Amino acid sequence: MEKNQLNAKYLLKNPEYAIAPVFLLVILLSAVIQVFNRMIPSLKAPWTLELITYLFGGLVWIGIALAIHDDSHVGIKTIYHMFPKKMRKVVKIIHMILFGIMMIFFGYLGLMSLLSYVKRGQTTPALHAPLWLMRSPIVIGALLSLYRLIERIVMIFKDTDPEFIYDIPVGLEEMSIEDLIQQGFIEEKKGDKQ
Amino acid sequence: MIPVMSLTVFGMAVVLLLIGAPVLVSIGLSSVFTIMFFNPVPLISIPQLMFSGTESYVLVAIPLFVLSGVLMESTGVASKLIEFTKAGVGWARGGLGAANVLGSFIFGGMSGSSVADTVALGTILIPEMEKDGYDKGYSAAITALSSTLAVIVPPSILMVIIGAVSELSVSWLLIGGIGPGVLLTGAMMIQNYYICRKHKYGSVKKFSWKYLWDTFKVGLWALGAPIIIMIGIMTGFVTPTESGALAVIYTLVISAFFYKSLKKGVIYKSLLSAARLTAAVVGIIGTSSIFTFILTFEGLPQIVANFLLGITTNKMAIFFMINAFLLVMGMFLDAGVAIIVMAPILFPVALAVGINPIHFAVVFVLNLAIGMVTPPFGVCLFSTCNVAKMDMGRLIKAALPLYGSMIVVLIFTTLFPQIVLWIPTVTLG
Repeated sequence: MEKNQLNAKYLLKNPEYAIAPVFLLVILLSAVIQVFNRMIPSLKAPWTLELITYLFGGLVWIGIALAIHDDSHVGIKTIYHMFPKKMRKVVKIIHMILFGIMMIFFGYLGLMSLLSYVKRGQTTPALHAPLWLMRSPIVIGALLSLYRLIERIVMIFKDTDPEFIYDIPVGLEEMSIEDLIQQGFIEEKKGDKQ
Repeated sequence: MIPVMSLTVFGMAVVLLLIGAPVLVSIGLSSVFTIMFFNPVPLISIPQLMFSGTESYVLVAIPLFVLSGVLMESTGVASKLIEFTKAGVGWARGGLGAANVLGSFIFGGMSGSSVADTVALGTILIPEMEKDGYDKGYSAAITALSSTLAVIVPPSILMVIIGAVSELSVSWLLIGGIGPGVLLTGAMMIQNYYICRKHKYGSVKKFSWKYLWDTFKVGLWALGAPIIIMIGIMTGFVTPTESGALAVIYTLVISAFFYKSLKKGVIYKSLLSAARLTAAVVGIIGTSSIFTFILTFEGLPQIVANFLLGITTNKMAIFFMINAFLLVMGMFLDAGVAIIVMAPILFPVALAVGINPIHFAVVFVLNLAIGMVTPPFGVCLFSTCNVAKMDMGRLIKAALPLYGSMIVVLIFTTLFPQIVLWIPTVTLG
């Protein structure tokens, strides 16, 4: 549940919950600086565009793990929801395994790219930051995603996956469990350890 | 020549999509396997293709628009706007229905999400409409159908996605959505008036200048965010991304100092929501750059263009054929996903027959918006049914006449490019 998410212990256990908001906050501030940059000629900040772009790329990779944790990746669930609960559990585990295979590919290929940047000593044009560092979220995101996928598979086996605890109304899947409870679409149940 | 790679990647993606796998996995895994099997490029090119998809300055507008919308909703700024629209049109016959449509035009534009719009407006207006003597099915129907305005008028996330995928100016697309948005709002409000008059839905109250002025004074601040976005883009003073950032800062300032509704933890929760949605959408764009590479490597868009041109060379006939196809796609696929997958294939066709790309992109989004409320799988139908706690059959029956406005607006917008192009041409040159 999101009420405990600002607690330091929780953030250490769930790094993507700290990294993603910080990235987005820096993107927001950099975009504002960009506007001021245009208004005040003496304020020169050519690095903002580059910082925004790389952080956004990073946000996507870290966010993939975040969305696995919250089970909020977009999918076409029409046929899936027609399956009986037991079969849905099996199918969901297959989804998670396929997701894991894909993230291993991306993580490995990403790592190869980073190593080639290190070898060539490539830096970004405006920030002069090492390119491997700016693009490292691909590997971090892949590792975090793998961890989250394993965690979710364990949750399915332990019957603690909210999807199988709650009957989430069709069409409202994009809302968080907390919002669904708050707005009265579902009732909170014991055993929800999310 | 048979495009074997394209067929393989498409086939695998469709199978994975049908079994409910996340779209990111369906597109990503099928693309990786196809590249591994057919070897059109070395595997090491995959990260480069994905970086080019995700490191996009244009797409940064998405989390910022979402952030602004989530903040508006969680700090109660959105409800001030609803109150203002009610004071403006709620007194007349069918007034609450009209307020619903107008509220979607203003608030929906800010949230950028049709589901957020149906939930925010529906939870307030559906019970109120029912209490005022409206049929529950009709109240839900007008909420669902008007929520599609969220993806047509600025700041629409779908316009940002189609702009990024098709390499078009997002400013032109966002401003281009205003014309069809206004037309749809007008058409729905007129139809709502006649339906309510016929069925005697709702009460007629006395218009009150005082109520309008009181709600305007409060709502004026809330109206600032969409105005910042629109004026900022129209004047060319800021980019869509920067306009999103300014709208976020503005929302924070008015909710903290004017409405005093900024509660502890709201900013963090909003940042998380925006990050989550961004990853889900832009992650797909990242993997779809491999997917699109495979399709273009084999020239699939050209094959589709030649096939359609073999049937007819009439520009409008092809445009309407694409419209019909997109309407069906919109019924089954998430709108963002439909753009990511179909735009790279259909844009070359549109360009080949001489359709203006901005006009085509806006009509593309309009089709998908209609798909969101078309049975059997329209996502806004499901969310509205849950908000109104009613069955789908009743909602669809009540919604049937309202589909007429949407189809008429679609036909007009397809036939007359000026509806889309006039405002951006005047404002952006």
